[in-house]
Formats: sequence, C-alpha cells, structure tokens
Amino acid sequence: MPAADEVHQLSTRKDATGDLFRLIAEKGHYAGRTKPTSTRQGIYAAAPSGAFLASINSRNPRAVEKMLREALANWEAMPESERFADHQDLGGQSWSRLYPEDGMVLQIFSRDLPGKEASGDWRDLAWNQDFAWFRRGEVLSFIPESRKLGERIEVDPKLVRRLSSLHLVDNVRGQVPPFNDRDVREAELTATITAIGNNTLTLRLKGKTRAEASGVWSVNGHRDTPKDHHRGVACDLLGEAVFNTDKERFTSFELVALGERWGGAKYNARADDLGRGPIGYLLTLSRSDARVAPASIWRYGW
Amino acid sequence: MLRRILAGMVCGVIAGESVASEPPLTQSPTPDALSLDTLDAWVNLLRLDEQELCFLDIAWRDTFAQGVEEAYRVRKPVLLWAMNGHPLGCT
Repeated sequence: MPAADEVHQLSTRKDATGDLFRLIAEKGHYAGRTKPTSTRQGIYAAAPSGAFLASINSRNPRAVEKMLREALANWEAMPESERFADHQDLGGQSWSRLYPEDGMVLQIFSRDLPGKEASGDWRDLAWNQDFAWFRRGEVLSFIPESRKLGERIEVDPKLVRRLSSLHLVDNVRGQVPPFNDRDVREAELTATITAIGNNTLTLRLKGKTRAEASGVWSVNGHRDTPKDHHRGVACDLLGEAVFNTDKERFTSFELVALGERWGGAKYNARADDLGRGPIGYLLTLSRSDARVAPASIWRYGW
Repeated sequence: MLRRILAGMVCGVIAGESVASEPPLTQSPTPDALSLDTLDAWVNLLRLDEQELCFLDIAWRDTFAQGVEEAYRVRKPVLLWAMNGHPLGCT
C-alpha cells in the first residue's frame, strides 16, 4: 500500500501515528542518526504492524530497486502473526482538516528557464510544485463586484503578498524557507473582466511581485559556514481565468509568473548558482485529489 | 528526480519487470517575452508533462496513517515515501 507523507511531522508527532513511524524508522537507514541532522527521510517498507522490511534514501534507481525486492522477500518470509498487530486507530490531526472544500486549490509548478550554462545533470530539468489554498471569500476577491465587462479589481493585497512570500519562492531544486511578509517589496495583481458568457466571466490577471531577504545562513546544506547572504524572487504575472457564476467557482485558472531569482538557502541546492537566473511558475487549478497542504500552511493564519 | 525514479521502480518491481534507466536531460526552448500572444506557449512550457508526473501513476495515499489503515484492510505491506516536505507537494 503506497503512502507519502511529510517526515518531520511524522518524526515529531506525539501520537500513535508518530509512534508507529518511529518504530519503523529506528530500524531503517538513518536509525539513531543525529548528525548532520536527525532527519529520517527516505523510502520505507514495513508490515502494517510496524515490523520493518527494508528502507533506503537514494536517488540511485538500482539501489531503490534492490531495496524493494529485499522488502518483498522479507514480507514473503514474515509470519502472518508478525505482519499484523492489534489494530489501533491512527487518526490524529493533520493540516488536511483545513482543506478549502468550497474554495480553490491551485497547483504551482516551478522551473528554471534556459539562460544559464547547463549543468549536464538533474539540475537542468529540476522542477518543484506546491499547492496554494484559497477559502471561498478569498476566491471571490478575484471578482470585480459589478461583474461588468471591462471592470477591474485589485485582488486582495493580503492574498498577493501571501503568494509572493510563501509560493513564489526558489524551490526549484529543493525546499526553501518562505519569505517573511516584511520581505515582500511589491505585490500587486489586478483582475479585469474581458468577456461575459451566459454563466461565465473571463478574467485577465496581471501583476508583479518581488520579495527579497538578507541575513546570515548557509547555502550548501551542512557543508558551509553561515555567513551574510541575500536572496530574492521578482516576477511579472500574467494569466487568464474563467469564473462560473452559477457555481461561484473558477473552472479555469492559468497564471504565469516569470522573472528572476537570486541567492540561495540552506537546502535549495543553489550553492553553485547564487547569481541571478531566470525562473518560471505556473499557477493552475489542481487536478490532484491529494489534500496535501501548502508547504508553508502554518503561515496562512487559518 | 526522486519522484520519477520511484515511480519507475515501484511499477517495475511490482510487475516483476526490470527497471528502465533515467530519461535523457534536455531543456525546452522558451517562447518570446510573456504577453497575451505568448501566454499559452508559456503555460505549456511550465506545465508538467506526463513523464514528469509519472510518479502519480502510483495511487499514493496522502498520509502514512491512511496507508496503514488501508494496508490492514487489504492485508498488504506499506510502502512509505517520507521526505522533508510532502513528496506529493513541495519537497
């Protein structure tokens, strides 16, 4: 049964889910590890009881294949009594409880764009993604009140600042801390009604964002000493969206953000590329069934 | 990259097949400057393609707890992909 989850929450939560994960992880590839970090990220195979089968943290396809075959062999050899324990309800709290059922979920894809010397490895095709959640009231802030052709509205600045600080970040090669709200220097987005159908409004979206931060941090994982750094992302935004006035929902939403990123953070793998480089994002309606929370959901203030 | 590797690994091993190697690395050329005329081209460039989304061919449960609950029901082992940052989101 394949499952994906966020490892820091699993490692630290104080409930049956956390206990079960730690039971497995402390027999795995990072068991007992505290340096350079105490992360337990990786791929684990286990019986539902928590009986360990195999694990690995590797990008090497052959190594992962070997681990999976080992896990299957161990499963086959494991007595039924070890596979299943007395079942307990794992349950527990998760950010998915905040999923905006009647709002909007955007999927945000980020990529580097050509313009710098190719690395010749995974970095040339790196991409990442995130989800952005909007409550119903926030969705409606994209819609001009009069709903007349040519009418324009400034999208709630709080939402645009949230996009800039939490979502338009340089996560292409790996995780990066969000910007603070005070780091946002520009954040504007207008929505203009460009067409009206029987039950639809077509909107043109246009704007720009800029966030930058300075401070002392590492840019190469645990391999460099923290020192003064500066990082930022500046984008022009352009897009189109279709809003269904019967359902009061967007049925199409495509917003492109193009611009520059510069600097690096501890884990976003920019140590070799701290200068300015082109970056692009697509914000589009999520086609995923996953109720995976935005990476910085705790900053939403919901 | 791990997303793509893992999708190929899991599908291949479960099917009893040998596993394909990684695809070649090539970047697509970019359209002209962003404008209403080039918007569709930029959307297409930035949208993930099927190959990039192949890791979703696996029916990942969103949480470890959900995976364990279902594993009990179908009497199967659990394969957990646990990363700093949710693997199905930003990792």
